[in-house]
Amino acid sequence: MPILRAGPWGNLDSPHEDEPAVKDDQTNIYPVNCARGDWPNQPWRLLYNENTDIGISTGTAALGSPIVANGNIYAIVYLDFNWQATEAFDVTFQWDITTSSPTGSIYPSLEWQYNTIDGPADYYFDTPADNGTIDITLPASTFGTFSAYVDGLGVGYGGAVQTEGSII
Amino acid sequence: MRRERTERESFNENRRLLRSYNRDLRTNEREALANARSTQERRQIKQQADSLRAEISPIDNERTRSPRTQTGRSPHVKPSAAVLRKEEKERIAEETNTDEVSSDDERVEQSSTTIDGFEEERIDIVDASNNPSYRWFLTKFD
Repeated sequence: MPILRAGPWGNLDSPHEDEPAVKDDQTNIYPVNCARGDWPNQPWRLLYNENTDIGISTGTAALGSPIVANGNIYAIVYLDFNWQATEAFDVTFQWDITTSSPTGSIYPSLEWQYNTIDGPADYYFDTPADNGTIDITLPASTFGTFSAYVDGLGVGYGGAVQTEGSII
Repeated sequence: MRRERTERESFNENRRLLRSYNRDLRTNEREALANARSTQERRQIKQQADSLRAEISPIDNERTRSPRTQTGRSPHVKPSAAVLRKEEKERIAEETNTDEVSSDDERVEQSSTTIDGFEEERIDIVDASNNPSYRWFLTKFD
């Protein structure tokens, strides 16, 4: 059975918000996508935050588009989006953390979670390898919200750290 | 020696031309309606299309003014140019003993009929197969 479109932006408390002029997670609203597809007037996208000890940069990105944060001590990539779906669908969380410091001198961590207006939710935390992918199945929902981050923390050898993350 | 065209041949030729023109108009109207993003835009497209239909079909003009449109039809339903044209085709078909009212015309009639006090609104949906899609809703306005 079809479901009515929400959005174009929103969150669990307020699924029908206009697209903000400034794309920043401080607004606490995120793009609403149709599973993995594009709306006729709005392509699939997420809100990202490249957060490092040097600075913060936010914006929107397409499915499969890598987000790269560069820091001296730490570099975190946050990825957020909402979805609507009449059937469960899969996304892949991809990450890759690199440093100019010796091997083993960064401590990666990652987390993803989703919540739905209908109830189902899931959460995952790991201290993974420096790079990899995780397949995540998002359930059918009239409105769901997904958030993830991957964090590359250096140990202070003076080398830069770069964290890349994407939803594929 | 070239033969004079009979009245029937001229009539048929004009009818073919008229049908061809109407078909092109319908095609363009459909594409424009499909691409329209607002009810206001849809209304303008329909008005323009109806206006063009009225220009190319003097019969429709006569019918629009005819008191016949007030009989046997709900007063809430506006007879569109497409409906009137269909009636004209039915009349021609009766006169020529042919059955030329196509199912395509039926669809045009349905899509062109609006109800007083309501407007069509395009609503985006996620369809049953997880795809972005849309539906047309008839909504009441004040």
